[in-house]
Amino acid sequence: MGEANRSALNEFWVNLKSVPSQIYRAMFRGGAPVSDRTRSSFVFGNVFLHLHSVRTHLWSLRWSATMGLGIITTAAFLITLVTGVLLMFYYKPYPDVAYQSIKDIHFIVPTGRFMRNIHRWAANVMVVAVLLHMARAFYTASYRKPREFNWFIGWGLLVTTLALSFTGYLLPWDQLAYWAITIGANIAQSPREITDAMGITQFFDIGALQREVLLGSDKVGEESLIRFYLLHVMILPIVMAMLMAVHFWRIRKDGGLAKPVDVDARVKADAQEHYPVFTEEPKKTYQLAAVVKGRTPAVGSGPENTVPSMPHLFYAELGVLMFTTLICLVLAFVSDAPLKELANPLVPENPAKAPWYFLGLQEIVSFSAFMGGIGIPMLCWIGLGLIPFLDKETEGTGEWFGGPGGAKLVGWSMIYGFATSIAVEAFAIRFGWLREWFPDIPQLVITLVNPGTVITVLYAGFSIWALKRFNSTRAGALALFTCFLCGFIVLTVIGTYFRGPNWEFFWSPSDWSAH
Amino acid sequence: MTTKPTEKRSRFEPEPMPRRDFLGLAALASMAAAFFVSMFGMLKLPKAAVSASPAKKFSVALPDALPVGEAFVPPGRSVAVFRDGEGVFAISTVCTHLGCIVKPNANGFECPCHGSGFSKDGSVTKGPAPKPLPWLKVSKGGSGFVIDEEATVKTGTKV
Amino acid sequence: MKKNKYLLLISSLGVLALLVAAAISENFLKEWHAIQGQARTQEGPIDVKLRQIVNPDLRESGPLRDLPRRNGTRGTGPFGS
Ligand code: HEM
Ligand code: FES
Repeated sequence: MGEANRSALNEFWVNLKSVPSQIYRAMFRGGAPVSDRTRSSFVFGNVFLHLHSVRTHLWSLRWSATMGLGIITTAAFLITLVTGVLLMFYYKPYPDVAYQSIKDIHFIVPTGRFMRNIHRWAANVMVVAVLLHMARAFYTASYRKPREFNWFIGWGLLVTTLALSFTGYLLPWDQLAYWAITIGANIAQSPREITDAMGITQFFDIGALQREVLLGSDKVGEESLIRFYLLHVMILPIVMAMLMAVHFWRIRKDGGLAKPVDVDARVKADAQEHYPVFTEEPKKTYQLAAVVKGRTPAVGSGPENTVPSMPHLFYAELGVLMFTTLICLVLAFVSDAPLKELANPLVPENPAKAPWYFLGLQEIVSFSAFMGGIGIPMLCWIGLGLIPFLDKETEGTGEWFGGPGGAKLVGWSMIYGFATSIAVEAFAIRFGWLREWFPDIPQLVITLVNPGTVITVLYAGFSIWALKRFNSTRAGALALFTCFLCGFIVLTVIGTYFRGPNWEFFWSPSDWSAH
Repeated sequence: MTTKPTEKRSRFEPEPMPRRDFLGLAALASMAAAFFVSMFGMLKLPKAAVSASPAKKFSVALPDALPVGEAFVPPGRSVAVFRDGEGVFAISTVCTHLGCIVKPNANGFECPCHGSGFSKDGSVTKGPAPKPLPWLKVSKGGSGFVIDEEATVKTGTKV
Repeated sequence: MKKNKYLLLISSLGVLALLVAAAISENFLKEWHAIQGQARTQEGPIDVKLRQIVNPDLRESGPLRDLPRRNGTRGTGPFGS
C-alpha cells in the first residue's frame, strides 16, 4: 500500500509548500552562525566573505590599528560604483552632448543632482582615504615580510584610484574638465622637454606617442572623451575590482594584518571584554593535511586572542561602510558638484587647474613640465613601490611609527619637510627662478634645477642623514616618506589656494582680479 | 589500467617535476609567443592611424586697417596674424609649455595657465615654457593669405 | 564589538535622516516646483509632463531642448554656439 500512497503529485505538493524553508536552508547551508563551527562555515562557505579569514585577531579590531582606512576606501569605491552606474543611465559621451546630459542630470533628472554629488564626493573621499591608508600601512611598518607583495598590489590600487578619478574629471565636458585634461594630457607629452633638449625628438618622440594614445587625436576632442569614458566606466573599475580581490585575499594569506611581536601581552586587556575565544582545540592543522609546510603554532593550543570574524569583524566593517556613506551624503548635501560653462577649446580657463590631488604636481609643473609631470612623480612612485625591498628590518612591525627614530623622528621630519618646501616655494615666488635672472639659460638647466628638484634633493639629504644617524634603513624611510608627505601637502595647498590667474601668487582667492 | 611499481614516495616528497620536458616547454613557449604577438595586435588598435580633425590649412582675409603690431586672430583658430612694413606673418598661440592658448598683449603674449610670457617674436621671456612660440607658414592665396598650422617656419620669415 | 555596533547604529540613523531630508528637498523644495506652481494658462495650472516643449527663445534647457531644431525652426542653440 505504501507504494500507492507515495504519489508523485502528493510529493510535488509537499515540496511546493516547503519551498520557502528549503530556500532558506539552501541559503544558510551551514546553519545559523551560533557556534564557532557554524560561524566559520558562514565565512568560508560564502564566496565574498571567504576573502576574510574566519577568525580575526583582537589587535586588528582595535580602531587604532587600521583606523578603518582600507574599509573606508573600499566603501567609497562601492558608493562610486552604485552612483556611477545610475549616472550612466543618462550620460552620453559625446562632446557638447555630454555637457548637456550632465546639465540634465544636474537640473532635471529626479535625484540626479544628489547622485552626482555623492559620486563626486565619494571619489574625493576615496582619494583621500587611499592616501591615508597607504600612510597607515607605511607608518605601522606593515609592508614587511610577508606583506611585500600586498604593498605592491596596494601600490597598483593607488595608481588605479588616481586614474579613475582623473578620467572621470573630463566627462562633464565643461571648461573645468576640458582644461584640466588638456594640461594633464600635455604633461604626458612632456618627455619632449628632454628629447628636445637632446635633439632627438624626430627619432624618438615618446612624449607625443603617449599623448596620442591617451587622447586618440592631437587634441582633447570626441576621440579623447570616448577613451576616457571607456577607461572610467569599464577598464579601470575592472582592474580595480581584480586588484582589490587580490589585496584582500593576500591579507588573509599573510596571516591577517601586521601585529607587533608581543601582541598577545598587549591585547590581554581587550580579551576580557570578549567571551573565551576558543572552545575546542583544533585537532588537525593544514600541515597534517600535507597542504602546507612550516611552523604551525595552532597545534594543540587555540589561536589565542582571536574572535570569529562573524560577527566581530563584520560589525566593524558594516559600521565603517555606513560611516563612509554618511560622510559622503553629508558632503553631497552641503556642496554641489561643480559645473562650469561648456568646454571651449579656444579660451582657456584662467586659472586652469587640474584636479586638486594633482595641484601639487601642477605647482612643480609651473617650473618644469617634465620634472613636475613625469620626473618627480615617477621617482616618488618607484620609490614607494620599492620600500618593502629597501627596508627589511624587523623592529617595530605593526606599531605606529615603529622602528628606530620612531615618532620623534617623524615629528622632526615633519618640521623639516614643511619648512624646506615652504622656504623654497617662498623664495621662488618672491624672487622668481632662473629664467627671470638669466633669460638665455638653456632649458635643460631649468629642467634639472627648479624648485621641485631642489626640494627633492633637500629631502633626500635629510633622509640620508637620518639613515646614518640611527643606522637604520627604517629611519631613512620614515624621514623620507614624512618629508614627501609634507611636501605634497604644502604644494597642493599652494596650488589650490594661493595660485590665481596666470598662475600668479595671491594671498587669497578673493584677490583674483576679474579676467 | 595497471600501474608500474615505482619507488616508494610519501605525500611530502611527490615525484619531481621533470627538468627537461621538451613537449611541455614547447607548448608553453608557443602559448607565450602567441600571447605576445596578440598583445602587439591589440596595442595597435588604440593608436589611431588617421585622426579626423578640421583642416589645418586655412585662408584668412586680413582687415585692411590692421595696425602694425596688433594681432588678428582668425575666428576658431589658435593663431595670431600680424602685418608690418615687411609683410605678413603668423605666430601660433598654443603655449609650448602645456598647450594653453596664449593671449596677445602689449609686450607680446602671455599664458594664463602657468604664467609663461613671450615677446612679440614669440621668444620666451618668463615662466616655464621651454621653447619659443613657433612661426607658421604663410603664403599668398585664397581670400588673402593661407596659413598652415602644421608647417612651422624660421622665426622672422614674413610674406 | 560594542563600539562598532554603536558606530553602525549611529551612522545608519544619520544616513536615514539625510535620505529623508534629500527626499523632501527633491520632491518639494526644488526651484522648479515653485515656478511650475505659478505657471498657469486660462484652463488652469500646467501639469508636469514627460514631453516638455521648450521655447527656444528662452534658451532654456529641457529634455527635448533640440526639438525646434529638428523641426527645422532652428533657433539659437540652448548654449549660444
Ligand atoms: C583602492 C585602494 C585600496 C583599498 C580598497 C585597500 C584596502 C585595504 C584593506 C581593507 C586592508 C585591511 C586593513 C585596513 O583596513 O587598513 C588593507 C591592508 C593593506 N593595504 Fe590596502 N587598500 C588600498 C590601497 C593600498 C595602497 C595604496 C597601499 C600601499 C601602497 C596598500 C597597502 C596595504 C598593506 C601593506 C596592507 C596590509 C596592512 C597590514 O597588514 O597591517 N593598500 N588594504
Ligand atoms: S601652458 Fe602656458 S604656461 Fe603652462
